[in-house]
Amino acid sequence: MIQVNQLGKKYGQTTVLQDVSFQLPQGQFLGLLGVNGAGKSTLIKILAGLTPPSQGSVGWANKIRFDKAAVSYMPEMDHFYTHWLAKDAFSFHADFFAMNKQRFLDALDFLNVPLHKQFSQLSKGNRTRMRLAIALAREAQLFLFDEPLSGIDPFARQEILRALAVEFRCEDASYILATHQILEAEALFDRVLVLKSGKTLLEGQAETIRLQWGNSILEAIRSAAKE
Amino acid sequence: MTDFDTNKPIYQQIAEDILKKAVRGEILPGDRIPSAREYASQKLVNPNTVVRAFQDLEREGLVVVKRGLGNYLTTDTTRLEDARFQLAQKTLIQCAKDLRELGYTTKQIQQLLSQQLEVMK
Repeated sequence: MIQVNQLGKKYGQTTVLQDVSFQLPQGQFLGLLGVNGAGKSTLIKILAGLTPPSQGSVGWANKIRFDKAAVSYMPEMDHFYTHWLAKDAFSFHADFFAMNKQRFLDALDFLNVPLHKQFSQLSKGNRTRMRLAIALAREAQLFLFDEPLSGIDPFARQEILRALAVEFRCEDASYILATHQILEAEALFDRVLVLKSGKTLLEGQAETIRLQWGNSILEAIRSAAKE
Repeated sequence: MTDFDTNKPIYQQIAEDILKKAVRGEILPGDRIPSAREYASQKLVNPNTVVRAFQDLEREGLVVVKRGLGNYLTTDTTRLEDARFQLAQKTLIQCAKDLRELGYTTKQIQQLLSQQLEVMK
């Protein structure tokens, strides 16, 4: 269980996150939703241990210790060296983290990533797939994906969602996916956290929110934003 | 799932999907049904949601979970027939409610139904 309490973040005078609380039980999948600038990436970076919160805390229970080794983070931007082949990316990460080689190879195969092309020679979709395969190959307790679907065509989006939410899902790990593609992804969420201007707009079990607002998560967000 | 109904819980829709396949004969009594993961991958839904749907089906005696072997549709055809009847009832109740809301009387609803059935012959 990950318990986030009243998290806040300021960059200078600018507040980017304010009083954000949620919990994520082990094995569950959280959809982190909201428009650009809502604070999704900042929240993910705090959870990844890359930036400290200005306020509040992140607590871990069930024997999970907060530790960068326990968190696999896939940033939004292409963050690999341009000359890397898939195997180079793997050995680089294996120097720092526990990695599952079989899962990496299976993920590359499932996602049809060319093995003998340098990172810079891959298409945008394939660069994302290679970075995803690395993120999924980590032996982690918490997986964080920051907009892995942005700029990806619809067919490839489904394949990416299938890989991260079903095929390579570890049963006892927790997952957070930040995305704009709400309608496509909403059937995959156990829980949802919707941010608006750094504050919580909606938070809770996806099914409860859908029923409470009588519609899809997307409609729930629209209705909640109007109130 | 790209084609889910936004007004019903997803686990309920999954259970109904399996049930409909069974009453239509696409899955036969005693047939293996997909594992939660296979089903989740096919339909792109949360595996946890599928597990919940399958647990409901197991509780109702429609699906038998054989540990380590997989999930199977029950061989108890009476149960399947009951489930089919319940689905029919649910549909009828919804239909009757909707027509009542439009202000039709019981007699008019009966007439409308038989006219519609005549048209659809």
